[in-house]
Amino acid sequence: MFAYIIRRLVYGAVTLIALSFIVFMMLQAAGSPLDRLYLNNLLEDGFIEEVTRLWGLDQPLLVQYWKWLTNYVQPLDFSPQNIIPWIVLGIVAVAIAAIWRFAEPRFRPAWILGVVFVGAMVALRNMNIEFDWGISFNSGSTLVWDEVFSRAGATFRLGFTALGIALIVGIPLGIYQALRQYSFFDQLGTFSAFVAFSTPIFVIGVALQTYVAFRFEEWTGVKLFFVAGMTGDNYAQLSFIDQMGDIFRHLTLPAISIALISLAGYSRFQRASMLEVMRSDYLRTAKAKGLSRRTIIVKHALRNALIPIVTLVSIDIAFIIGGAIITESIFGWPGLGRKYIEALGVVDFPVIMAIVLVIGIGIVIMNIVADILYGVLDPRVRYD
Amino acid sequence: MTDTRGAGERLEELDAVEGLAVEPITQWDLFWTRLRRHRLAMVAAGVLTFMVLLVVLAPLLPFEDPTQRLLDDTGRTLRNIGPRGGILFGTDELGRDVLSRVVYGGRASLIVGGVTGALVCTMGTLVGSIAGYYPGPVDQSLMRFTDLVLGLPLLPVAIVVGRILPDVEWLPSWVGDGPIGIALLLGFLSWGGLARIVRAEFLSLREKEFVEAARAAGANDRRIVFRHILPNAISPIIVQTTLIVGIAIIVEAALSFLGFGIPPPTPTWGGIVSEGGRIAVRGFWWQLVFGGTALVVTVLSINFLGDGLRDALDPTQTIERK
Amino acid sequence: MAEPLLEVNDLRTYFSTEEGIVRAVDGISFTLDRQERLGIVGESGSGKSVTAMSIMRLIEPPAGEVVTGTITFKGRNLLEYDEADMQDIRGGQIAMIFQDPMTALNPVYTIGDQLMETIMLHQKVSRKEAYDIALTAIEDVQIPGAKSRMETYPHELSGGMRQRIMIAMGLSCNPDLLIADEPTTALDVTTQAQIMDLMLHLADERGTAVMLITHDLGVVAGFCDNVQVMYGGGIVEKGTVGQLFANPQHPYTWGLLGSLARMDEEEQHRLRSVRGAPPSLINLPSGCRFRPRCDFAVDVCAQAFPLLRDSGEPGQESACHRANELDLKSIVQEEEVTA
Repeated sequence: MFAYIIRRLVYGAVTLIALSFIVFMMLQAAGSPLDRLYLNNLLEDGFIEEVTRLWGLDQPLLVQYWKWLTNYVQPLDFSPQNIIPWIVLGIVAVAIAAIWRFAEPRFRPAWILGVVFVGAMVALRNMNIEFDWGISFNSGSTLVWDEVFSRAGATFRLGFTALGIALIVGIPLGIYQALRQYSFFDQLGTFSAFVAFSTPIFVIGVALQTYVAFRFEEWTGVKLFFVAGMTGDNYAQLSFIDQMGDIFRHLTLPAISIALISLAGYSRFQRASMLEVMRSDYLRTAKAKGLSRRTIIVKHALRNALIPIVTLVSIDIAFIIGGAIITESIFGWPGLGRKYIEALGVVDFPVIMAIVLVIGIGIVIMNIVADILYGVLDPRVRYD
Repeated sequence: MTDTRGAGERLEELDAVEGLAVEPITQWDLFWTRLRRHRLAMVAAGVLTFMVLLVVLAPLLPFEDPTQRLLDDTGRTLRNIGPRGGILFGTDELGRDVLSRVVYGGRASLIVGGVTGALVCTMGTLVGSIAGYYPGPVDQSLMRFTDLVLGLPLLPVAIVVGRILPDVEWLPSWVGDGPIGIALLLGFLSWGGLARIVRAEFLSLREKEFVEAARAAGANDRRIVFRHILPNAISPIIVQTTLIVGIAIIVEAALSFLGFGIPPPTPTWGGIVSEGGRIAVRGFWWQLVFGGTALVVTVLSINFLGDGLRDALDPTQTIERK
Repeated sequence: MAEPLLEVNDLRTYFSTEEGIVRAVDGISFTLDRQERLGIVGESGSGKSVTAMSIMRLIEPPAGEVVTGTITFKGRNLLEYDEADMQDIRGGQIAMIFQDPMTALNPVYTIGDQLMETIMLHQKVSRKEAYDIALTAIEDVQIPGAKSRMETYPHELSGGMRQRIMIAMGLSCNPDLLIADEPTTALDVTTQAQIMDLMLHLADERGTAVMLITHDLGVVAGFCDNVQVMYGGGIVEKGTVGQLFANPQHPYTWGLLGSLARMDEEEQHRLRSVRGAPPSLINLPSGCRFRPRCDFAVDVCAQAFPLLRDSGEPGQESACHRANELDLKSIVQEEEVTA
């Protein structure tokens, strides 16, 4: 199983290198960053010389890419603030040993993943981490690391809310449709799923923003949702309840815009998967045992029908990130996606490369998580 | 071939004698019967045919120039005029006819959809068949490459390419500025899924008895691939290709929406929705609604057609209850 | 005479499809006594599996429906049971074993889970007791290492092992009737006999009647008391195994027997096959359903539907207009002479 995880990580790394290499070369194809730097009169004297030396901008492309790669993965600071990270490290090590000893082999990866994730979260909060991702070529002053790090949370919030909506609505919808196959509700659901699946995110986003947030307030005088942003200006002064309300009124529309297509996909897929399971021999066995319809569906059918959706979700992660890029631009959401578009507008090299790397890492991690989850749900999967 | 026909004829004769003769049904007949029964797919096919004809014949039809502003009798530009007789879809902020912009905008979308589809279909089938037919190092290296391409997130990469394409000096302008460049890009990014599907089909089909039989009968590789395996893999190829065509149209529109697609003044549905969204807050809804509808209806038709084709091509669906 | 365990009367199960109504089971009647071993033989599509599914009430409307008939089990008509009562019957009093053991067990639960589920459903026992019963059940079907088997998943077992588990599951609640639907078809030949022996031995121990559905006359010959042959949704011949094999009354049975390679006969005879294909159950031929494939068909066969009637030895019945005039047994011998 260790071999499996290591192989997955190696594949992930290769994908990341390919992704960053392609984007890097693409950006270079549109002209050397030096040309753009010389046109930028916001920059202080000496900045161009400094970044040229630092990133090797006057050198061959492969050398430049190598410098970029080595710079990006080199931590500038990675030190514990206090003793907590060390304690966490110890606890995680003991926990992994315990898991190895006591957990059933097929649940080991999931347990280890969970422990490592929680441990990393706690440890990272108590550490100074900083990578040298350079200074924005556009402003000449902002640190790319700070910019990306501060915006990742916003995208995370948006993406996971969207994924949550899609899963929580899409899966039950698909199951219900499968259980009422050919009913009016089923046909309506299928038709709606097709429409939602065929409607681009930006059309949904613009329509929701224009009519549900903006025009609705004009017509009724009731402000349901905010047109743009992640929180209101007075967020800090609000009570906790009001803060939650504020977040909800900002988050709902962009999250729905992203979620709708995924939701349609999940419900279609879940319906098909459930129908297949309902026709399976082992369900007939369950019926022949004398189990009630409820037990048959909840215990025997659902457990099996949920397995394939994990694969779909792991494929969908990249799509949700793509959706976030579009939606953030529409709803002025201060996340990575909007920054990506802004940086691309002015071809701000270090920022674009940093965001591409973060997106790539996010996708690789989510895919590994999905794989491990699959192993938990399906005992037939073996890691070798 | 002759001996099977002989046996078939003999059987038919037998059936006829026994009064049990059945009209012979070919796969093609079955396909048509099933497709025709899928009403939504038939409507979708009609809509798509109409769209294609409209877009291709647009220059011959009495549409306004999509890049030219409309003027009233006194010579003033007709900006943001709502739909009315003569200007069915209204005008945009620069006074251009929205109907004609929507029609001409369909050009970019349909070209991108068509070219991407053709590219994906060819590359995916080619790579998938080669990998599936030649196991070992060929298969391994092709599939690693496919995995790599599949690992690239479509939209983030497409946006970068869309952004820089017009800036790349050595590219001919029909690639840099037009839908062809976008289509090539999307094609190269999205063939991986189909390649995997085709490979899987090949892997399972090459072990099937009828392929073994053909091989034992002395058929060469080419004959086995083209006569025995590919026809059986046609269903997933068509279904996946229609799916990709829909996605390509959506991604092209998204790029244009973000301003990284086909540059103005060439009309695109993404661009129309983007501009329409900006002015819809002032009550000028027609660009958003007509541009968005054209886009959604086209993609929806493609998806319905794909669904109909899948149902019609599925050989296991002989007696499904309605 | 004691009341039979199961009495099926004029059962008709139809399926509606786009092409028309499929008369999968079309008016069959038979009885099954306690501890009897009844074989039901027929080609695929003859309605034998649908008969079993109808008895278990596993036919799901609106796809298929038991249109008429009664299925009297221990004196009560199963078709009048409500769903909750039927659930007590299924698995508790009538158990069923299916054809393909590879797919009949739920892949995400352990063998132990699935056995204990059945046991706890039909017997008022604690988890601990259920565990012990399940363990004994696994030992009974002669699987070594029963304790560790409780924790394994179905995919870790071979087909034969899985079918043993299915048998263990079916018999774990001591049912009155075990319906085995082609239980050994998917297994290889050496395992087949073992599994059949094991199943029938265990059924005898528990006093369980067995309804064995198969297309294999050889299996019936070896393991059953009585047999009935199904063709095109109806029963064409029934009798004891001895009667049927020694003196077939229906040309179809005769054809089936001719296609069977027999080891017990000294003289060799050429294997025959029944020509043609089973009838479409949507457009049934007029009169006798076997007519288009029958070597002995005459005009009356196209005009009237033959009903089951006594023919041959006492207790033997056949649905053939010409059963009494044809001497099928001697036709076999004639053939052998000419061959």
